[in-house]
Amino acid sequence: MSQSGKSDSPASLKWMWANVFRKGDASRVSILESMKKIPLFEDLTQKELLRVEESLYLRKYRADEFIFREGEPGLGMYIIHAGSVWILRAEDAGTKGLEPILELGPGDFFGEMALLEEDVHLVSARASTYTELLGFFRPDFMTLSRYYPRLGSKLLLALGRVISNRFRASLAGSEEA
Amino acid sequence: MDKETRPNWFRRLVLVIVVLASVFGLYIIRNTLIPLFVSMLIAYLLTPLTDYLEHRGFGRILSITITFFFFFGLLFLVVLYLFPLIKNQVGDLTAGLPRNLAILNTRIAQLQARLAEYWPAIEQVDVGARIQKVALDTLNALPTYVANIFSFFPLLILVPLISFFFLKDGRRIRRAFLNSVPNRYFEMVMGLIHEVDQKIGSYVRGQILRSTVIGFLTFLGLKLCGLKYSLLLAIFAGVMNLIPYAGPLIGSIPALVLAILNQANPDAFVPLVFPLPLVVHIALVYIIVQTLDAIWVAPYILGWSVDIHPLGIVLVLLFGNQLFGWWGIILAVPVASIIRLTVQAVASRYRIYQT
Repeated sequence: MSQSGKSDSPASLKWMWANVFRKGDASRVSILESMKKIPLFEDLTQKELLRVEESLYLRKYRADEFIFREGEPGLGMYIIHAGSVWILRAEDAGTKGLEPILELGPGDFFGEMALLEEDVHLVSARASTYTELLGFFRPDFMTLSRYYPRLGSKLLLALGRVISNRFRASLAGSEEA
Repeated sequence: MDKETRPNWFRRLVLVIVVLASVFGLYIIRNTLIPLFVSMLIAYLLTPLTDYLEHRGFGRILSITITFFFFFGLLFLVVLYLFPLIKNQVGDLTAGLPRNLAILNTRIAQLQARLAEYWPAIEQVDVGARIQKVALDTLNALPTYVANIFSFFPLLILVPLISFFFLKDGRRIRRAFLNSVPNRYFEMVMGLIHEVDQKIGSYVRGQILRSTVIGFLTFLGLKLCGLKYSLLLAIFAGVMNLIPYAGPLIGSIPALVLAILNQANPDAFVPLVFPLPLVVHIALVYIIVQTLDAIWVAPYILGWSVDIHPLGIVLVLLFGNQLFGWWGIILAVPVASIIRLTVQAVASRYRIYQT
């Protein structure tokens, strides 16, 4: 697992963090740090980050294991905590071959549109190496928004920003092609 | 990758064996399942309130304590109010029994005499004595039966305790379970749990609401007709309504019997205005309530009907009786509906994910 650059001496911030939580300290701290890098969570306060973190699921995948396949119902988004993931698409309709679109690494995320509505995945995702992903799923997102409306609004705004950026990027990409 | 090489039929066989073994194991411990089930039910019902309190800032344990206070306090007050009432009324009933049976006997004799004009053979059948015997047996069994329902001293301690832990750690239990699901099925299982959770929640809440509404309407009707013990009868009708087909009928029998025995206030509203025999009034009350239920209450509240084949319902009721006695009958259909919901959800999800 990637370690941040902070020292582990008693005076450091990381040490203080690790000792505030009683269970799963080190992993929880590093999860929170991964989260902070995501544009989706950049406006959140520390308390709000903790609340979201409670709803995350840490999943581990072997190399070449599929995370989800194109056409399966989408349940939520994944943040890459460690390792790398290939996003793939079927080459042509009907063939079994998968064409890689891009490769994502730690700090990247995918599947965020599934947070908004129940629809099928448009692409497949496969781990290329041993990968750890943080899953954030729609039911938990809805529950979170219901109990903490401000947090919900912040997340929705950030989600909208992210999706529109992706859209812009894909438009720009198709213009060049 | 090793698992892929085992033949398909072998895996199916193992699955079947595991399922049968678990069912058998559950059957063996079925009596201990009741407090467990009741605790889970209570925890399930109280979770929304507890969550609300917790998110308002009270700690988890504090919210659970508050919710418990509220819920069990309410229950305690209800029992405190009802228990002497029930005892009195059962006492009244047993005390008045000889006289009531005599009245019943005379009525039946009269009926018999009248029928004998058309059907001589009926004189032979001593209907009166038969009914008397049945009535006496039932009423004799009643105190023991009531005592059995309320032999809840161990329950009184167990259920709150188990409910407390379910409330406190329910979420953690769910997370632990989900974390142990293999990747291939993870999204499917998670979606499943939420879908079933929602459906069960709305079904349980709907049924409770419906029973309450029916009980209330019955109470109003009976009170207007002046029948004694209206509260008791209304509660009984509300609970019995959970059983489809037979439930409403069973629920109305005690009231009809009491009406025959004329246990009523003579200056109640309805009998004064509509001078018909009390039995007719009471029967009308129940019929009206049932109609309202079928037309308005059930569709509005439940949203979907219990579409299990009537034969299936009979079987389920029989199983419920065999396994859990009276409680089995009352809970059989709701539990069966929940199981059916779950199986349907699993099947449809599994099919989707089998690409």
